[in-house]
Amino acid sequence: MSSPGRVPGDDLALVDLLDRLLDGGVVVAGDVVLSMAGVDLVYLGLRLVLAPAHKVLSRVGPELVEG
Amino acid sequence: MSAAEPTVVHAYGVVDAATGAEVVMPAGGLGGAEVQVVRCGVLGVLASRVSAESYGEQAWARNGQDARWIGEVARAHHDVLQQVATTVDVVPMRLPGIYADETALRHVVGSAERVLLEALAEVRGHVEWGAKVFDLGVADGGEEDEAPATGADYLRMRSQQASRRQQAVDRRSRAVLDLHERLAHAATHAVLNAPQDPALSGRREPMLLNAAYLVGRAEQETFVAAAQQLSDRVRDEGLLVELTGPWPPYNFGVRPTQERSA
Repeated sequence: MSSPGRVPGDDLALVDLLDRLLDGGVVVAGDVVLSMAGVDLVYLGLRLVLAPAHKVLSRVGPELVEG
Repeated sequence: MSAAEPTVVHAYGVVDAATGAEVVMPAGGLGGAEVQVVRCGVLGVLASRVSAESYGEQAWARNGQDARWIGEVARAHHDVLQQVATTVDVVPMRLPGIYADETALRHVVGSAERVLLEALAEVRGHVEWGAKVFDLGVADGGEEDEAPATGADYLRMRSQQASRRQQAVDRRSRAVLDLHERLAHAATHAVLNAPQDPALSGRREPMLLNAAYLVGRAEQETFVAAAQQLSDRVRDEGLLVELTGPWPPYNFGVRPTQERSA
């Protein structure tokens, strides 16, 4: 079954990669010139897409608080 | 990509301008584009000119929630950094690393020069290793109890079971903490990240540790040997250690707080 939002099972390193490249802890601001309005929303959106709905409902609150 | 097509600059990471000349350029970057070192004073930035239509701001706005698209961009970005980071010190740039042109990139890098130099100094001679610990939960100490004869027996047994479980949890927590401290000791710096959600990690088991370690290129063998030894030691506690690396030093160099104050 193809489920476009999910990370393919045989591609788990991708999760580690996105963890590093999108999810904080990381590096130089690359967003200065094209001021990417709502970039944080993009990250949040990606996390929502990757997580199944029931997880989102139970997790999104605390994550928003922790920022 | 035709010459007339509008382009943006996608930046991968920052190197010393001096070492930038020594970088063996990866064959292809994002979308197969040529990777170059954009000279920014004492710094160099690994960057590609890419199609604005495919990778510019609008593309991010359009595809920013498509895991597959972001995955492809992240892979291309990472592949460039990975090829360079094995031999050259590089501070990775966070996605999306898009700039209107080289002049805009130079301006941004120039204004963050001090912070970037500090970042380069921190990662110099180092790569990153990752360690995740999963709780397999097999060490709950659950030998079969006999059927309780009375209600009081039942309550006592329940209480003992709960106590054994708590002890096992405490033991595993101590083991994870100990493992992290030993790995941190074998590394130059360590960073603790939030454990990945099971939906993201692809594992049912809870993740107890998601850490990154900055390890000297020459210390990697020692670090990995230590990690393997620790992994063997905690296996009996029901803990599974997953070691990944070497990575470009994504978790080191510039902290988000510095980013904001820069």
